Amino acid sequence: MVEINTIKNKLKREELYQKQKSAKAKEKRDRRTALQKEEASNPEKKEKRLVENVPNTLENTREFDETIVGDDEEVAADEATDEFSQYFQSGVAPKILITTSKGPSSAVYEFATELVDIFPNSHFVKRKPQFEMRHIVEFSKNRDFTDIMVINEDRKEPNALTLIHLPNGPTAHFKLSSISLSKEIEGHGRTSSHKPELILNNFNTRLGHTIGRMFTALFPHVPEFQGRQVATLHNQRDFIFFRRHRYMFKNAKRVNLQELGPRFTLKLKWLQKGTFDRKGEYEWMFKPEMETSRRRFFL
Amino acid sequence: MLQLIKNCSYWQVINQQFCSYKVKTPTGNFCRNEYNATGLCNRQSCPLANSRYATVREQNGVIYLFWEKIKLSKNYAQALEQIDKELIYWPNFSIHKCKQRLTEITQYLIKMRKLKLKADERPKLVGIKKKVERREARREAKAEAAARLDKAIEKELLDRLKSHAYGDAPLNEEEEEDEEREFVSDQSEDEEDMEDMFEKEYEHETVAL
Repeated sequence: MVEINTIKNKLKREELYQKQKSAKAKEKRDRRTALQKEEASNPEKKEKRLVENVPNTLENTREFDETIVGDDEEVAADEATDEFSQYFQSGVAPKILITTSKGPSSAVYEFATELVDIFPNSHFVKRKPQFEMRHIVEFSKNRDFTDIMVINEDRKEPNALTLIHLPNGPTAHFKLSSISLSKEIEGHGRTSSHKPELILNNFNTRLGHTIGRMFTALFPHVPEFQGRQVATLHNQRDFIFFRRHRYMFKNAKRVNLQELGPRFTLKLKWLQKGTFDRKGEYEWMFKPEMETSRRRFFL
Repeated sequence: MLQLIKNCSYWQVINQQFCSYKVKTPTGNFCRNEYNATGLCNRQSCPLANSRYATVREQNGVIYLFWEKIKLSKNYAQALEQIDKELIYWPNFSIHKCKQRLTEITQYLIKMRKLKLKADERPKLVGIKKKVERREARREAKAEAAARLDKAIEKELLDRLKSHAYGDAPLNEEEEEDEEREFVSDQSEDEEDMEDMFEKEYEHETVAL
C-alpha cells in the first residue's frame, strides 16, 4: 500500500484521497445503520449504550474540592449563625440600596434601572462625589438597608458589581460582563411588580454556599406566585449567569419560558469579611496562580 | 574685606562667564543648585558667591536649616523663631527667603500627608490584562453553552411543580397568559386577598443551592 501523500502526481493523489475518504464515510454509515437496526429490535441495548457513553466534560472531571457541601451538620450550624441569619432566622425583609461609582455614565444608569426593577424594595441613589464607601455604608445602616450594590464602570461600561451585606458584611466583588438590557433581548416580556421566585443552581462549595445565601438574601422570603416571574442565578464553571423569565406550565411535563431580561454574567473576584474596607480581611480572593487547572472551580 | 572681594570675583565669573548651575531662559535666569533658597540666578540668592548663606531644605519629611545642618521644629511658629535666632548675623534677605521656603515646605508636607491618608479611599487602578480578558470571555461563552440555561431553569421549575411548591392546582397550568396582571398599577386592589390565599398555601420558598 502506497502512502497517499508520497504520490507525486497531484491528480492521482487527489483521486486516491477522495476514494479513501468516501470509503471511510461509507464504513461509518454502514456501522451506524447496523447499530440502529440492532437497537431497534433491542431497545435495552440502546439504553445501556446511552448510560455508558457519557462524554467527558469539565463538570464531571472537575478536580475534587474538599469544601463541597453535602448534608453537613457542621456547615448547617455554621450557617445558622452567620451574617445572613437576620434574613434566614429573624425573617427581616431585604431593603437594597443601589448606587454607582463616582461620575457614572448613562450606561451605568440604565443598568441600575434594570437592577432596581429586578430586586423588590430596592432604591437607587445617585452617587455624590464627596461620599466615600464608608460614609454610604454608615448612612445605609442608619436607614435600615440590608444590602448595598455598587455598580462600577470603566470606559463608560459597567464592569464590576460590589455587593455589601449590612450591617456586618460580608462584601463580595464581582466582575460584570455580557450585559444585555431587556430592550436588547428579542421577544422579551414586560415585567410586573410581583416578587419573583429565585432559582440558584450549582452553588456547591462552602464559598458557593455563602455567595448563594448572599443572593438569596436579596430577594423577599415569599414570592408572589401569581406573577410567575423567576429570577435565576446559575453557576457554571464559576461564572454566575443571571436570567429572568416569566413561566407558564403547559402541563406537568412542559413549561414555557418568556425572557424578561436583563442578562448579565458575574464572576467572583473577592469576598471580604465585614463591610467594605480595602485593608480589611479577605475571606477569599481570586489570584492568577489559582487558575493552574481548567478543572478547578471554586463555587 | 577679603571675603567681600572673593564674593565679588565669584559673582563676576558666574554672571559674566560660566556657571554649571545656571539655566538661561527667555524670561530669566534660574539656578539649579540645590542649596539655592529662591531658585533664581542673581547676586543675592547665589549660594556660591555668598560666603554667608543659609537655606531651608526638607529631607524625608524633616525640615532642616542649612548653614550648619540644624533640625527645625515641627511647630511652624517655633521653627520661624528658630530661624530668627540662628540667622541673627545674616542679611535680612536670607532670613526672609528662608522663612518663605519654610512656609512652602510646611504646606506641601501637610498636603502630602493628607493625600496619603486619602489614598485608601480613592479607587484603586488595576491593569487590564488583555490576554486574561480574552481567555475569560472565551471560557464564559463555553460555560454558557454548557449550562444550557433554559433547560436548567425549566427542569428546576418542573421539579418545584412536582414537589407541590405551587399548590395542588397551579395557577397557570393550561391557562393563557393573563395580560392584565402584568401591569404594575393593577396590583394593589386584590393584593390582600391574594396574599392571604398564598400564605395559606405556600410555605417559605426553599431554594436549591
